[in-house]
Amino acid sequence: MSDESTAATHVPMTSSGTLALDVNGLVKSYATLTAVRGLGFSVKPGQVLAMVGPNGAGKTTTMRCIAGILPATRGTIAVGGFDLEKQPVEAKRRVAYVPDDPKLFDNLTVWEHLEFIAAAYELKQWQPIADSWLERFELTPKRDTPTSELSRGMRQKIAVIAAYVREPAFIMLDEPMTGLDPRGIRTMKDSIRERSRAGAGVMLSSHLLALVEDLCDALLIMHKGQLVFFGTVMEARERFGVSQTGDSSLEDVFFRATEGAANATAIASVDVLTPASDATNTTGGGNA
Amino acid sequence: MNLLVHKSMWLLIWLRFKGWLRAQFSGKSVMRLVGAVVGAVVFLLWMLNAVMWPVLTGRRSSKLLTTTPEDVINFASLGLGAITAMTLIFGGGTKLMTFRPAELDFVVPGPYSPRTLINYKLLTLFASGLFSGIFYSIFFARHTGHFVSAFVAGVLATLFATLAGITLGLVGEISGSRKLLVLGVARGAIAAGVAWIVYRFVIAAREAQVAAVQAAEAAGTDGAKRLEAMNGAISVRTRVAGVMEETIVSVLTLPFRPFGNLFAASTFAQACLWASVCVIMVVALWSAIVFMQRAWQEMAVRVSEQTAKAAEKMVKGTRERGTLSKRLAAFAPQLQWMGPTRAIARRHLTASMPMVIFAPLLGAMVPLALSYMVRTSEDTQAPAIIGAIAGFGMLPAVIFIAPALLRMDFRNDLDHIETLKTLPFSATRLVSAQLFTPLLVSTLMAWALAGAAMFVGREAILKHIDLGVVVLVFAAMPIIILIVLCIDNALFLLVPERPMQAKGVNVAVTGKRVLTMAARLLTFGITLAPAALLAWLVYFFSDSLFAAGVTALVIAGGAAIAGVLLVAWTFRRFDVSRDMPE
Repeated sequence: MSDESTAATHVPMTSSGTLALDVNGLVKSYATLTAVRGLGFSVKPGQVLAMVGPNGAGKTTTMRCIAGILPATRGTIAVGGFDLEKQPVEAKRRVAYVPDDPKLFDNLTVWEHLEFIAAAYELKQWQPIADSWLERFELTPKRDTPTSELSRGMRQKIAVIAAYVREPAFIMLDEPMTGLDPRGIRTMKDSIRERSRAGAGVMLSSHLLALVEDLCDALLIMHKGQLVFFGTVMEARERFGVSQTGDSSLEDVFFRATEGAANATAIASVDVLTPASDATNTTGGGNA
Repeated sequence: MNLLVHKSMWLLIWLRFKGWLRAQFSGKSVMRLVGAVVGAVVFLLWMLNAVMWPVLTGRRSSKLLTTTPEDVINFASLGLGAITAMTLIFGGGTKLMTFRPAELDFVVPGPYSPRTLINYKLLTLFASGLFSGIFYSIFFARHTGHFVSAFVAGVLATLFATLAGITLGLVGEISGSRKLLVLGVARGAIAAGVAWIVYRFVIAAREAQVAAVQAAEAAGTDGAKRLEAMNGAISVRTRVAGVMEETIVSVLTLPFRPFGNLFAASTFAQACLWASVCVIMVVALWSAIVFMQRAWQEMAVRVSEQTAKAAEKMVKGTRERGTLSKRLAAFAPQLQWMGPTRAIARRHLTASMPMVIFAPLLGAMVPLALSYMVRTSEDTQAPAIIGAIAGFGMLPAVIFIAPALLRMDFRNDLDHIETLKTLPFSATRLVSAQLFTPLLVSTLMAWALAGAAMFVGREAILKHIDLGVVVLVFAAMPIIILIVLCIDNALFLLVPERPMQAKGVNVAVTGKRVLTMAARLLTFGITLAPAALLAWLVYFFSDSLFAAGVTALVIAGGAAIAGVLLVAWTFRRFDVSRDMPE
């Protein structure tokens, strides 16, 4: 399939050996609330990290800080080796963020959105790539349609295409499957795998634990703004699984981890917040 | 210009403008196309009138409209001062600098520095200021010094008021834990300044009123001479100039005088001088905002999200209930007599309790306050009559406009009609319950207004009109209001529209509203015409005002019942699968 190959063969903008994302001691406070408390983790090129946690855990706030929408109160964020605070333009050039309910410019057509993205990120020869993604997400017939006339799922796809067309070093997807039909979900899953194979670091937030099991090789569990677990899915099973054989479902892991976190918050246990292994936590960060 | 913003931002501004133009005339439906054409025609007529008026009549040819440059400076300074003060006190500026939801998702995370983002946002504000400039320069064309200087003044004045609001918001933001204190002190000081100016104007108005009465008494009994004498004694311009010359007032309005001078500038040199001063003031505020860029982004994102949520609620017609509203909701009557449909009526009623209580009080205050304020001498009934005339004069406006503004019925339920259709009530009962709250509030307001007017002018009124007729007038009010409500709701169900547009200025929607308003007036006239005609016939043959009134009341009552049935019919045929306005 030529379209797919066009879309998948481009290499993201990060040099080998550089972390796609490196977060250290991230704190995000509001007037009366601390939404994220000392979060530290990293994503390697080609890695797919799932961020899970109950509602209000601070997942979206974390993503928005990494995307440069919200300034962090404390801590550092580096994307593709560029510090978001000190080199915001270079860092933001390397990160793509797709919110859970993306809002588009109503009066702009699908293609005009991509035209703007191409101008913003100074992309060259972007049209064939954009066309191939439109084809794959079955949006070619809607190319010149104002986005106000599109369904929720179609808008979601456009936001994803706007992210993919840039071929960034690091991609964040907040609840990427919301509003998609079964075919859209399959395309989305395939595309995430492809971007990962092409070397992009991917972080996705989802309540669909089956999706997490299916797609992700690393797991980050958050609860009340704190890091509860960061490591591989297998390590999560070993730590929080109910079965001694390590084949507990991710659902069991999730509930035990977040319930444990509630207790851990009460006793301020440092152990629970320690990253699972150096293999996934390459920076040695992760202490809450 | 790429130093100011990234070139892609210029592209985005252009694409958005192109998209907006495209949306105005995208013929998704015949109604939309007709609305677009009517809207464009109305706009052109207004423009033509505003532009051609000075040409056809000669600038400042009308005596009433004659203005001197000093008047322009005074009124423009006061107007801009009032707008800026309101922006600063109520934080309007921070709302204007917000990002739209799409900008939050596509522009803010883009490869732009915070400084570029600020410049982009301020540039969009500048672009909207261009529209304000055009508006001001056209609307005040007959008063200002020159079209171009008025345009520049309008643009810069709009920008100045907005930037001042943003700057104050940012100062509060960087004050950290002392934010509330800093903002409170600043806003308190501004409010005190405004209160002082208002106080000085009230004193001036009072002096004008006394001078007018004395001049009228001295002028004798000839009505025209009395009016001329009163007009001369009031002399609004002289009194405004007098207040503006007072030391405190002139200091408080000093920052706005350059803009006033620019509005009044009639020579190129004057325009250049004052435009330079205004530009320096605007650039100073712009620079201050760029200096506080970190605080700006934090605040911009937060306020943008709040604004987007509030706008979404307004578009959907759902209101955020305040503390007072929640407390007063407990006092809403249970309406047991309505049976199961009381849930429908109470839904609107509990949300509108502050309105139920305060709207009638507000209505009653007008004639009472007027009759008190104009009381200048002991031996005259003039104050009472003025109060009564004002009260009854406002009655048609309350009866016709209040139901249109309240929107506590189907017009606020566009997204709930699907649910309403599933309820196990007949359409007629459901419609009756839906119309209950706006009928109650509007009637209470009208009765309070008319009651107060009747109270202050009772002696003069009862001298000429029978008490029975007065009672009929009061009885007619809820009937006429119900007719208005029925017309409004039937039209809405036939051609639905949002109370607020999600997508900003829209020519098609403006045109559609003009058509709806015309249809509303026409239907109202046609509905009440038989009642008026028959009442006149009865009066003609019986010479009894009371009999004529009863006739009109009975026929109007029938029309109101027919109206409810009409709304029920439009509700039944309302197709929820149709394209809803956004």
